[in-house]
Amino acid sequence: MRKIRSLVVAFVAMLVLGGSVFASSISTTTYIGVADFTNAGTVTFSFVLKNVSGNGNVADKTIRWSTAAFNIGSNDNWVRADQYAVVTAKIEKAGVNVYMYQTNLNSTNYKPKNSSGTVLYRGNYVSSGTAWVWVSSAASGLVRQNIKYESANSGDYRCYIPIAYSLVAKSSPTITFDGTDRIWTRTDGTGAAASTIAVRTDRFLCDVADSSAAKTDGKGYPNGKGHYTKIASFGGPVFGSDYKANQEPIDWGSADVQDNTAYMYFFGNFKNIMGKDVYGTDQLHVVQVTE
Amino acid sequence: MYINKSLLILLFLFFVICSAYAGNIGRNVYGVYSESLTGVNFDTHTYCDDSVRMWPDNGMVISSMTTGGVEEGLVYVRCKFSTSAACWLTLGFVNSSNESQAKDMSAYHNGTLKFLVRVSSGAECASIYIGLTLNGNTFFKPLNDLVGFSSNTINKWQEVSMALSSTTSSTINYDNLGKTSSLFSISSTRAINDSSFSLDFDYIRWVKPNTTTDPGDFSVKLKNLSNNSDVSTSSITWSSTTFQQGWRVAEQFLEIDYDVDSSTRNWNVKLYTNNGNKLRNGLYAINNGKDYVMTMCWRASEKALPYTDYNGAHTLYIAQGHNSTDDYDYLYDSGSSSTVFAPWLYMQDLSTLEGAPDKDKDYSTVMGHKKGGNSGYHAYSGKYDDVSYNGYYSGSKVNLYLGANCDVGGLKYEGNIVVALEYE
Repeated sequence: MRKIRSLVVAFVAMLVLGGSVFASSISTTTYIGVADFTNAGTVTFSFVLKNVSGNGNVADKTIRWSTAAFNIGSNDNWVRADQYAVVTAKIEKAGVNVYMYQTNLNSTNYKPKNSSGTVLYRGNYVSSGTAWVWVSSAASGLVRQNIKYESANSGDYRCYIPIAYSLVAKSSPTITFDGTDRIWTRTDGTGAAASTIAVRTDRFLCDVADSSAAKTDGKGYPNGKGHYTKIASFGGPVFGSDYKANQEPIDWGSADVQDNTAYMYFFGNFKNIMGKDVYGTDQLHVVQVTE
Repeated sequence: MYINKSLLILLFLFFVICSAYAGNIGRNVYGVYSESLTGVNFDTHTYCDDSVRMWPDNGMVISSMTTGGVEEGLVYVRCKFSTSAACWLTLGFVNSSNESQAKDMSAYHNGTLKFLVRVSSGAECASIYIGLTLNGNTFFKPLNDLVGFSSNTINKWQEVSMALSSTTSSTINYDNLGKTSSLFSISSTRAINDSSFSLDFDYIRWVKPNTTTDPGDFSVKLKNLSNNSDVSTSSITWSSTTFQQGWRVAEQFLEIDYDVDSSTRNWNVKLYTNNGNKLRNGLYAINNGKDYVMTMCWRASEKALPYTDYNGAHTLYIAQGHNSTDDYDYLYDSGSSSTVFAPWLYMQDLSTLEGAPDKDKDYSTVMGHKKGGNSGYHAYSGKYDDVSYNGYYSGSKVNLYLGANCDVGGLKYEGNIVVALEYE
């Protein structure tokens, strides 16, 4: 993973006003209550990379995996990145969301092609299930660096490494990830060894053009594709009948995070990787959008 | 109205019952001694625009009582008569026939003097008289002519009416009422034989004629919170320049005034939203098909907020707490030194005026009265609130302050806020 980019998108506002009919009474006086907060409300967002070891800042905005940290093999092999992100958001406006997504088709360094120049990313079984077939599609996660054409039926030549990411409430250098059950386990953040907190979540870096059925549910940004792309939004109102004054400041989509700060850790599944290859992405975007 | 809840206070001199503002004379119901009528409160030695004072004389002893059964509000007056001579009590503008200090009460000609009275025995009542001083002339009418006491009514509060007309006395005419000195006097014509005899009175008021069938005068005014000036529009607003997440008070407040003879009818004053949905108990906006609601709350106060008195600060800061015992949320005055002062009530929508978080409270009724008795009610307002009693709440001006939970920006919220008078 080579680069994180931050963009701010122009606001798009939509307003709808409501009203009702008076109820009958002997004598009534009706007033219109108005609170025009169209331009009110603070929205701030920050995404700061830090080293897992030592918590120092990362100057080159790069998330790395130490190549000495994992083995090459054909089994699932989820390995934590050496960096993590401290994500802070204050969203006081409705319709404000923060998305993280990839556009790997725009890359020049991480886009393998076949001899005909067709961009190929992933191996996939044909419907007969008898052979691997390259498909022309974007891949999510880390992408193999400009490999040359590989012949079909030559096995699962892994061209991408899926990256799972978490949003947890505490800084957790010893965080673990169970890729099978999608469970993140962190400590309580106080240094005590005994307490662990498990959070189940399906979150993966996702390319907006990834044709995988699991990643095109119509909910992603910016074109409805790219599952798992929303990382923060306004917590949403609590209806008046609950008589609740307090609302969640941010909806992280994580049951663990309850305030304005989340800690994001990255795990890659280095299964079936090829030696001497470089995997990365320079098309990772984090954007704040008002919808 | 703040009441010092000591059991017994002996007053040998006099104390003053003040009206809080000018203009009480001429109202449908003029409070002479009351805790619920406009502006009347207890405050010794303070003069107001049309101050009413009390003078016991010649051995009459009066006490401010909070125990022994209070009919209206929390306090009544007990009279102990002299056992050695006739004595009297004058309640009015001046303790003499000094016309320069008398006031024009001619608006009440052909109306009614009403009050509550309770006696400990009937034997002494024959020497007890009720009177007025008009235009330098004092007349007295036997109490027994106004109300009969029997074994069934001794030690029980009785409602008494005395016509403010020649029916009662030839002294009572329009011109003489124009120079009223005493609004209510009690006297004994002789020394009382029974030293234990006592006479209690409460809820004294002058009532204009034709109020039995008249529903009274109900008014609602919108005023600016910043300077108390009248607002000509019908909009209640929350400032966007001061947007900050949390509960915020509106830039305007409502001044409610219901001038009515409460003894003649049932009535309620209610406050609620009318947005057609119980979930919209405040202002609301719709964004991307999703409802965003600014939950509202309100608070009733006789006095203009904020203010400070011997009970501490009363502010317009709002915060939410939680009653873990009964598991409900409440809103409290976060600028008050008290940790249990919770005068703010959640707003309810007309769609369902029920289901309040604290089931013991009515969140939509500001004040009201039930005909046929002296029981009234008003918005429960907390430990130190000046209206925390179970009595009348009529003929008074009440300020209603409105709050809303401002959590979500980027939207324009609106809603209908209704003040309703229901009566029969």
